[in-house]
Amino acid sequence: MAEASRVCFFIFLVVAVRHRCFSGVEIARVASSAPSLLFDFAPSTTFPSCRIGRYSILIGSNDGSSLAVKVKTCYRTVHKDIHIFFVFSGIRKSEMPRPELQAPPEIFYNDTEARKYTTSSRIIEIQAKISERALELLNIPNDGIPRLLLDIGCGSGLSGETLSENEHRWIGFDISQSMLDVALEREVEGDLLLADMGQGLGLRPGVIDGAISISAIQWLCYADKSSHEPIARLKAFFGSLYRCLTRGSRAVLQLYSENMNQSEMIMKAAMRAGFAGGVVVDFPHRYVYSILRF
Amino acid sequence: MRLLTHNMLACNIKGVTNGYPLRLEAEKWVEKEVNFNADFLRSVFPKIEWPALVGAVRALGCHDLLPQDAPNPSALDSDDDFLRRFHRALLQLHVEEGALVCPETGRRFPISKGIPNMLLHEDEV
Repeated sequence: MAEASRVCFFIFLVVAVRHRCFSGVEIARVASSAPSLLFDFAPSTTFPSCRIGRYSILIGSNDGSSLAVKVKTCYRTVHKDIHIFFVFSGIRKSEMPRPELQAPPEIFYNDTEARKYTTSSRIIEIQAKISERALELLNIPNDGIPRLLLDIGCGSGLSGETLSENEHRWIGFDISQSMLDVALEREVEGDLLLADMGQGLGLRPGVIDGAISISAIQWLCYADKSSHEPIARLKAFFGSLYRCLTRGSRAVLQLYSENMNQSEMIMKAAMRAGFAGGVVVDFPHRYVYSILRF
Repeated sequence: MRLLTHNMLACNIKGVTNGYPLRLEAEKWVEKEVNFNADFLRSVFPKIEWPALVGAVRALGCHDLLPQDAPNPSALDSDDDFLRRFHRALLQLHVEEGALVCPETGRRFPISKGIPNMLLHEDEV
């Protein structure tokens, strides 16, 4: 498939501290903040199995490249008085070779690979769009007060730039020195840390107002060293993330998951750490739709 | 690394219960201009561990920048001079070279080109 016509779509995992802020109303607000593209959806006859209202997710675009994401699993958990459905989606595999299968992140993002992040306008544009969407999903009160945010897997600072443009202060974590070197060159405004999120975030409890992560979390699902245990690394990550966030704040984690098991593994780890939340599936270029039902 | 970040960082080594604050050893630091935003300072003030911030400022040799004791929060509304100092301490001082030292284990996390290396060894996870 040609580069330009490749269908790419993105999964955001939105998790929130204190499930109360995840009432049905709030989810609806997030969903409607994306332009409603019901008209542009492919006719439902194309994908007869997908029906809104059955916890299914429809994605469509108006150029014929529509696809539907079938919901394969639906978890229902009861958190006190709130019923929450976790919806996992199966996604079509991208034609791109998956970097996670090639080498661990600190090796894969070497100087050459890191350089792409400053020279490829396509990468830069996509990163900026995803970051803006992630920031929007964070749902920070619109009071003009800058917040202290995290950018997990900040890389060369492309996503952090979006945070800076919105006046927020941020701390970026990344495991690749090469990527951080590029971030230094670009003179990003956030503070940078060389760290492995799978070892947990070394932060004090209750000090961070929100976190975004762009295309990074899926790396936790791979065991790159004999000592790596994905479940334990996910637990360390989500546990420390939960602790360092303030009450009512959110983390929006955009990820490319290779298969169902990964999304499920990630979501379970988030739930065990105490998070509530859901999955939002987005179409970045030709709008996006996401449905989460409660 | 700004002192704001230093104030939030804690040692993450397995089994460490008292990993805060990380002792700051600064070999080189610089000052960079940052937009002043009083709203941010007011919102972040309650989260700041004051003694750790004062300790970090002194580690840079700026002994008179901040008062020893945490000021009353009302100073944030009335005392512009304090607000400017707080801003400078929190956001404008960057540690470029040095180390962060865990108070419990003595483990050193080197800071190079302004980036602390917080990677743990396998036996520390």
